[in-house]
Amino acid sequence: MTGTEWLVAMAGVALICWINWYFFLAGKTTPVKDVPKDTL
Amino acid sequence: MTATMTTEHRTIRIPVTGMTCAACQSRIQRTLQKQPGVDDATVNLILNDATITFDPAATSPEALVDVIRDVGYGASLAAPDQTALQEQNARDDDAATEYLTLRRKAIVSGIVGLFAMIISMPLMSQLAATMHTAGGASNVGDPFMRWTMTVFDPALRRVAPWMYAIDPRVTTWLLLALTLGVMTWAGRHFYTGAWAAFRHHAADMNTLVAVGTGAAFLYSLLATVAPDFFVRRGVAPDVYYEAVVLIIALILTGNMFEARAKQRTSSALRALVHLQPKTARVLRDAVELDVPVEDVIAGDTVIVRPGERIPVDGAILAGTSAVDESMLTGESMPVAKAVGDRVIGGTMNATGAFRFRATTLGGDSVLAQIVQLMRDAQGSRAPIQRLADRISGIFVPIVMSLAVVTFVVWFIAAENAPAVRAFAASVAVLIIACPCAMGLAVPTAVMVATGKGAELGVLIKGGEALQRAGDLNTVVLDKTGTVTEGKPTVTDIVVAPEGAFVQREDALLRLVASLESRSEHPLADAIVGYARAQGLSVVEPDAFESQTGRGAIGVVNDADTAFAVAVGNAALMADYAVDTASLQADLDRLANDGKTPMLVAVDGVLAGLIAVADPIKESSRAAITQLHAMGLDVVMLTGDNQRTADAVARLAGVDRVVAGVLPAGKVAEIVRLQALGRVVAMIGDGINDAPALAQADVGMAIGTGTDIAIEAGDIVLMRGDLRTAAQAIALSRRTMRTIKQNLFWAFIYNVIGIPVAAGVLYPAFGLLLSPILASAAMAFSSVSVVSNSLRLRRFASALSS
Repeated sequence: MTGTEWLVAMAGVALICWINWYFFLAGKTTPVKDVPKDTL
Repeated sequence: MTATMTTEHRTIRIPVTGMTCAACQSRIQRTLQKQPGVDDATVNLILNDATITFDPAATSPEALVDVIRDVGYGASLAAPDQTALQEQNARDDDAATEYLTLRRKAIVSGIVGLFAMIISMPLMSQLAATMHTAGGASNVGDPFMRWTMTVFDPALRRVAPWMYAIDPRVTTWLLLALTLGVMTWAGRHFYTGAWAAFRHHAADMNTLVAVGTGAAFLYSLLATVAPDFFVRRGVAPDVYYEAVVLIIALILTGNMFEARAKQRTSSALRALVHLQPKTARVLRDAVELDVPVEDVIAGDTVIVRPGERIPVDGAILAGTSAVDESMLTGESMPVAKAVGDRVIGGTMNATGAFRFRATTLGGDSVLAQIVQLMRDAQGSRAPIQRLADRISGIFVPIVMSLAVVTFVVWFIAAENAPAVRAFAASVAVLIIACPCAMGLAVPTAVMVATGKGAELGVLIKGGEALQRAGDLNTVVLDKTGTVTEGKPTVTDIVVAPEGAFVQREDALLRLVASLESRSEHPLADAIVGYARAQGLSVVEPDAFESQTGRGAIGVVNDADTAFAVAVGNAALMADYAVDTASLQADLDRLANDGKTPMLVAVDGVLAGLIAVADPIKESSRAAITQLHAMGLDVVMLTGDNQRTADAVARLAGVDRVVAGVLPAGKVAEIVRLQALGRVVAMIGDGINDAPALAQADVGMAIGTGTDIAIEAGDIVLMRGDLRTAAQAIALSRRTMRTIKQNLFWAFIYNVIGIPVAAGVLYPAFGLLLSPILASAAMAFSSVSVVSNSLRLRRFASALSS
């Protein structure tokens, strides 16, 4: 494998990790927005 | 929006716009469920609404609307006084507008896409030549590219050779302008939807389309504005504008067909909504006025002429007619109506003219209640949906990961033009994956099935009831009113062979009815009612005495002759030394048939006997035969004695009967059957059998005429015909089969489509898919699922005949 191919492979792994973190983990820890009192 | 109050919590329905797939639905649902004060939230992709139960002290409808908007979808509160009918009308209009908008966008982008493909042919031809010169095969693995290069390109070269002389830079800039126009106009909602989802850490169909087309567009844009960047690295500055436009066009075409098919899934509901006439003719101050139906008030006198539709619910004041109620009850024969009878708004007056007093109006009318119930049913979720929901929730990020893997593998493995191939394959993976098909698999089938059920006179109250009804193996029937008519009537009149009434059955009946007219016993009511129905005049008896447990005696004056009449059992006859031997055989026969025979003596001599029974409905035997043919065990429960119960069971063809049971006993019997592993349906009237209906896996409330207990049971059989229960079960089984087919095809499509798009068949078969073909396949997959559900509309049980 060439250096470029290594680079693409590493970038791909990083991207997959980010996708899974962003959509599966980060979303779960997002605090739920409180409902403003004036709408009640 | 419609709202119902519970003790503390409210349930509202908010129309939601902009949902395209199951992921949209599950995202809104999850977000709503997380809100403080929300007990439960269900979002329906087909009906485009959210049903939310919440605590008014903790949140408000306005706040919930804001939550939905914040996630990236449209939501608004409808006028609070809208009835289910008006609300459904408004939704139908929205759905029609959505379809027309999609159609316009699909047609325009399709035309632009074809134009873009034609003008980009010289560029593609150049690319193929470059790849060939570079030593690799051109993109022949992709059938679309192969056709383009071997058929389309040579033909165009012959027809319009001048196109090949145009400066490629002019063509690419023109393509850029066209693509940008299509993306920002026709495809705008893909990008705004994807962005809204992304901000909430979610991904849906929009994300796949936006990432796929967006990547192709950005790559092409870079190749257009900075071609040297690619040339310096030994890569041809190719553009994929035509692919972007064609993908958008094809997906919009799929969405358009889907919107059309979704509209058809609710056609039964729409037909119900359109049953109500727009105006009513009312009598006010002795003047006939045509007023909008919304302006009719309770107590108004409404005039209906032959052939007109009845505008609102009411009770007849004057006139008689026959009314076709088939649209609500499935009953094909017109129902005779006379003064005092109830008429239902939306049904069709057939023959006579009549006036009636308007009673229930607006949201309380029978039609509005049925529409409301059907909408609730269609908005509910079948348990089998959970599997689809779970998969759609994680589907898109997994597909995006697979697209990255595809890119990396192709980049490393491809021998020539690796970046181009890696790019095309990963875009194809993004585009071919279709979460929409999974999202549509269950709700479209539930929609069509509930609509079909309503046409047959069966109201199915949701996906859960439908699924459980598909699993039934035991049916428990209540006897009175379900298997039988529920109204005792005279079934036999036998005159004594040597009595005074030989060949004078009418005279005997009139005497007995006249005597019994003073009695309050239900059997007496049956005799009096029967005599009146036969056109006999019933007179007041001169004397009457009820003898508890035996019968009644008295004097009836008929044609100026006074008769001493005694009606009752053998004990009564013995008291008056009446010889009953001549009718003993008839007495035994009728008693064995489950009937109640009453002996009649006139002036101390046996005159005959009259038998009263609750007759079996004509349809019951056929229905029970059908239930048996469907592999179901049929059990009958009754509070009657064993002999009557056995006789009815024998005549109806029931294989097991449990007699002498109280309502609590019915529940216990169902519990016992359930403990044996049986999946039990209870069929009974909605009033007396409510506990048993609730205990059963599926409670089927049987309606009689217009007295429909809509609230009772999981399934309401609108007319008192047991055959509709067999139809309901057959429809449920068929629906479950359709749902399983839909889920299978939706899963298998993705399981096969994604690897093929990634190029797994390339090493062995040299087969590749271009993103354009992938988008066509994606459009096809959801359309095929909806079309399969629509086949349920053709469900015509043999029982209906």
